Amino acid sequence: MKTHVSTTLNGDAVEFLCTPSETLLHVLRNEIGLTGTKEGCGSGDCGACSVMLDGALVCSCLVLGVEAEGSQIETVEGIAHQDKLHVIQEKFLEHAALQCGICTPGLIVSTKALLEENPQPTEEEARYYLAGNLCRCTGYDKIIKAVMDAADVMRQGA
Amino acid sequence: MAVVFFSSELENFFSCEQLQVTAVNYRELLVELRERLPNVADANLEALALVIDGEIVQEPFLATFDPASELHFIQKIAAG
Amino acid sequence: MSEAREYQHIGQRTIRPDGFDKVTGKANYGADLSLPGMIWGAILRSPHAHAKITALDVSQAEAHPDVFAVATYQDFPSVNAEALAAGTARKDLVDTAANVLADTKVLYHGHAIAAVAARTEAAAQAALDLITVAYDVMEPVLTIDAAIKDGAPVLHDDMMTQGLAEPASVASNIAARMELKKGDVAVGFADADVIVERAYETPTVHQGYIEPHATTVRFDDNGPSMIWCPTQGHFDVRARVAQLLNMELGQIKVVASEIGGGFGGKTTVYLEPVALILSKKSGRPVKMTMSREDVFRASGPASASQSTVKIGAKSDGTITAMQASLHYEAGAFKGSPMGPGCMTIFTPYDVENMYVEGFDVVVNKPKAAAYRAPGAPQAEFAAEMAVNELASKLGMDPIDLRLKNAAKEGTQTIYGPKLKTVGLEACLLAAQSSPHYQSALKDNAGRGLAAGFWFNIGGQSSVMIHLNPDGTGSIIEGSPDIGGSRASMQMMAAEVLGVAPATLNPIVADTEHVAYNQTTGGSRTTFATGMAVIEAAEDIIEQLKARAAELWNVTPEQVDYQNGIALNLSSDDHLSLAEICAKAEKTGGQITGRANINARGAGPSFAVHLCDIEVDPETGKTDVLRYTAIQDAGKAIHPSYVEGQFQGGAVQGIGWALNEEYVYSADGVMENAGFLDYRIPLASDLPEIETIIVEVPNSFHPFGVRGVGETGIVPPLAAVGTAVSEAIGLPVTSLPCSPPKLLKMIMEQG
Repeated sequence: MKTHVSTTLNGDAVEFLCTPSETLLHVLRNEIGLTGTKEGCGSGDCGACSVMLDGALVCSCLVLGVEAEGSQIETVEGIAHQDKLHVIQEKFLEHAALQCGICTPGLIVSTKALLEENPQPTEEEARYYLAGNLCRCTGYDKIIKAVMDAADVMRQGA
Repeated sequence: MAVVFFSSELENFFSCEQLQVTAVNYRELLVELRERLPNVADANLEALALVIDGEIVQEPFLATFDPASELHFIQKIAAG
Repeated sequence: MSEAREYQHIGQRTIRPDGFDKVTGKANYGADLSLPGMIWGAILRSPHAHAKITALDVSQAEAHPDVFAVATYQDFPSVNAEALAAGTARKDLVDTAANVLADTKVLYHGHAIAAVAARTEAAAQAALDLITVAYDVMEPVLTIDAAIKDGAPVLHDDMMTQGLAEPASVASNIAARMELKKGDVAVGFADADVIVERAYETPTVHQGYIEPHATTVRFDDNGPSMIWCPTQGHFDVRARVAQLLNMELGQIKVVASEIGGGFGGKTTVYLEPVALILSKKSGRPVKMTMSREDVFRASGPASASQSTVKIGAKSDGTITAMQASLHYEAGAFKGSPMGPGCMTIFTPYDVENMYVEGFDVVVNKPKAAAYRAPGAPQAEFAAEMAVNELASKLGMDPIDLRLKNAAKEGTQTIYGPKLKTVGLEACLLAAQSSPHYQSALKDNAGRGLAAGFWFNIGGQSSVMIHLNPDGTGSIIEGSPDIGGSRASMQMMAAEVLGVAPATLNPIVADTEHVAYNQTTGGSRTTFATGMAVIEAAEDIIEQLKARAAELWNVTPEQVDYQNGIALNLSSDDHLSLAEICAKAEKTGGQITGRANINARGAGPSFAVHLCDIEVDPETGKTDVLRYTAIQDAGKAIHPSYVEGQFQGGAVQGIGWALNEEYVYSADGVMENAGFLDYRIPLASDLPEIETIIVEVPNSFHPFGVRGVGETGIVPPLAAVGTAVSEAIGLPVTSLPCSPPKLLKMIMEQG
C-alpha cells in the first residue's frame, strides 16, 4: 500500500507515492526521475546520495521517502540557476576536481553545506567535513583545492 | 637475418632459445616458423604480441621488420 | 616531436566539455536510464563458497504472476561442452559464462546462479526465494597455501597446470606456471657481497569504483538489441554478449553510459548478458543493478599475492642478480595477471642476471578482474621493498642505488626486448631534487620511496570529425571517458586544425555510430585515440586544402594550411577553416575527416613516489604526512588530468598499502563487504598529493604522449611499506599495514 507524500523539492511543490520501506534516494531517482543523486552503497557510507533535508546534510539512502512529508529537499539539480553555475560548481570544473564524476553531485551538495556552516574552513576542517564523501578517482587533492578556492570567492561576496 | 628470441615458456615448445629467420614480415615469419619448428600450432603464436626492436606490437599482422631486427613473442598486455 | 615545440592548446588546462553536465547531475550513468515498460532483474547468489549444484528448480518462480522471466546457465546457447573446440579463446568464453551464471558448481560465496525479472525491484528480490537449489557443499579453498597443498579440494576437475616442463597428469588448483630468465642468477649471487631475501604478501583488494555495475537493456527481434551500461569497453561488451548469446555483432548496439569509475574492473561483463536473456524471454526492457555488497562479493577484485624476492649486490651497489617467485590468486577461474607481474617486477633495473617464476592459482573467491597495471603492484611491491632493504644494508641512499642500476634506453628486459627511450632516470633525479626529498623528516616518521613501471598499449581506435557549414564540428570517437579524455581529444583536434577547442564537440558514440574502438584501459586512450583524432584532423586538412584550391582555381600543392588558415601560395589570398566550410556545398559537399587505426608505438611510463608516514606506537594508526608522485608522461596534453591520474593511482595504492583487504570467514564469506569496513582512503586520511610531471617524449606519438593512467598505482605499495618500516623500525612484509597488524608487530617487539 503506497503513501502519498508532499514535499518542496528544489523550490518546487512535488508530490509522490511510495511504499513505507522505500528510501528517499529511491524515490528521487525512480519515482520523481531526478537521477543526479547517486547510489554508491545504499548504507550511508559513501555520500554519493547526499541531499539537504530541511537544511541538514543527509544521506538520502538512510532517509525513508515517507519521512520527507512536508520537508524541503535540495538536490544537486537545484544548485545551479538554469545555466548559471554556482561558484562551487565552477571551481570544481576549474580545478579539475572530478574525473569520472560519480561522486561529484554528492560532493557539490556537501561542499555547499560545509560553506554555509563554516564559510572559512581550514584545509583540515574541509577534509574532515567531506570525509563522508568517498572519491576513488582523484585522491581528493583537487577537490580540496576547489573547495578552498570556492570558499575564498564566496567570502568575497561573489 | 632477423633473429627471433623465444621466452622460456616458448623455449619449452621449440627446444631452442633463438632462431635466425629470413622473413621480413609477420606473415612470412609465421610460415617460416611453421616449416622449421615442431609444435608451432600448439604454441598459438597468433594469440601473442610481437616485439620488434623493443616496440610492443599487439597486433602484428601487417608488421614488417629489417634483416637486422630483434623479434620477441610475448603475451598481449591486458588493460586495466 | 621536439621538446621545444610551442603549442596553442596542448598543455593548457581547459574546462572539460562534459563538465557542465557532471557538476549539475545531468550526466547519465549506468543506473540512470529507464525505458517505457521496463521491468527489474535480480540475481540469486550462492550462499556457499564451494559446492556442486545438484538440483536447480526455477519452476515456482516462473509460475509467479509478478515474474516475467527466469534465466540460468542453460540460456547461453553457444556454451555447450560438445560444441567447443579446445583452445584458449573458447575456454575464456566458458569461464565468463560460468562466472556470469554458474554451471555445475558454485565457486565463491555470492556466485550468481539464476536471475528473475519482475514488475518491481522488490518483486524481483522476493521472487528469488521461489527458486530452490540443492548443493553438495565442498570445503572452500581460501589461500594460496590451501590451494596448492597436497589433497586440496580441486575447483575445476579439468584444470591441468599449463607451462610445466612435464605435462600435468592430475588436476590441481594451479592453472599455469611461467618462467622468465636472463643471464644466470647463480653466477650473479655468487658474485654478490650482500644478499637480501624476503617473502611478501598482499591482500585481495577491490578496484573500489563508487558506481556499482548496472545496466538497462532492450532485446529487439526487429533490429539491434540495445544495451546501456557503464563500461570501459562497449565494443568488448558487444562481442562477449554476442558470443554468449550466439548473436551477430550487428544485432547488438551497446551504448556506453557515463562511467563512475572502472580502473580495469569494468572491462568484463556481469549483468549485461543476463539482462538481455531476461529481456528476450519477457519481451520487456530490463534494468539490473548490483548493490554495493554484490559488487564486493561478486565482481572482480585484484589478486592477492605471495612472493619471495632475492637480490644480490656488490658493496658498491651494483646489483648482480634478481630473482623472484610469485603466486597470484586468480579467484574462482584461471587468469590472474601473473604474466605481467613476472614481466614488470624487475624492469626498472638494468641487471644482467634475472630469474622469475610465476603461478596462477585458483581459490574460492570472486574471479579476479584487471586493476590498474594488473599484476604489477603486487610484484613491484616485493621488488621495491627488497631494493630498499638492500640500500639500507649497503648504507646507500635508495635513489642513488636505483640510479646506479636504472633501466634506460637499450636495457634488455627479462621478457626479451630492449627498452627504447624511457624516463626512469629523469624521475629519479626529479625525486632527488624535489622539495619533498629535500625536506627534513619529522621525528617519529619514516620515509619511503619506490619506482614503478607499466608497458602501456596502443591498439585500435576509430574517429570521425564532421565539420558544419559554420566551421564548428563534432569529434566522434569511441573511447568511454573514464577521466576527462574528451577534453584531451578536443585539444588535440584543435591544435592540429588551428581552431578554438570549444568549436569541436567530442562525443563518445555507441557501437553503431562509430567503428570499433578497443577498451579504454591499458593507458591507451590519450595515446591511441588521440593519434586517431590527430590523423582524422590531418585528413580534414588535406580536404580543406583541396576545397580552397577549388575556390581559388589553383592546385592543392599551391595551398598551405597553418593555424586554421589556408594560404594561397601563388597570391595573398587566405581562407579560414570556417570560410571554407561555408562554401563546402559548392565544392563537393560537407567535410568529414576519418581515421581507423591500430596504433603502434605506445611508450612505457616509469614513476617514482616518495612518502612520509608517522605511526602512533600506541594504536598502530598511520598518518600520511607527505606524498609526492613523479611520473613520465611523455607529453602532458592536459596537465590537470595527468596530475589527476598520478594522484588517483597514488591514493589507490596508499589504500592498498594501509587499510584495504578482503576479510574472509573460515566458510569463505567476505565479512567486510561494504565501504564502512572495506576502508578506502577518505579526504581526512590524506595530505596534498604533490605531483611532478616529467616529460621524456615518446617519439611514436605526434605530440610525444605516453600513457599515464596505470603506472601511478605501482610505486605507492612499497613507498608506503618502506615508510612504515622506517617509522616502526621493523620490516614490513605483509600488506595492508593496518593498525591492528602494526600494533601487534610493535608489541611483539617489546
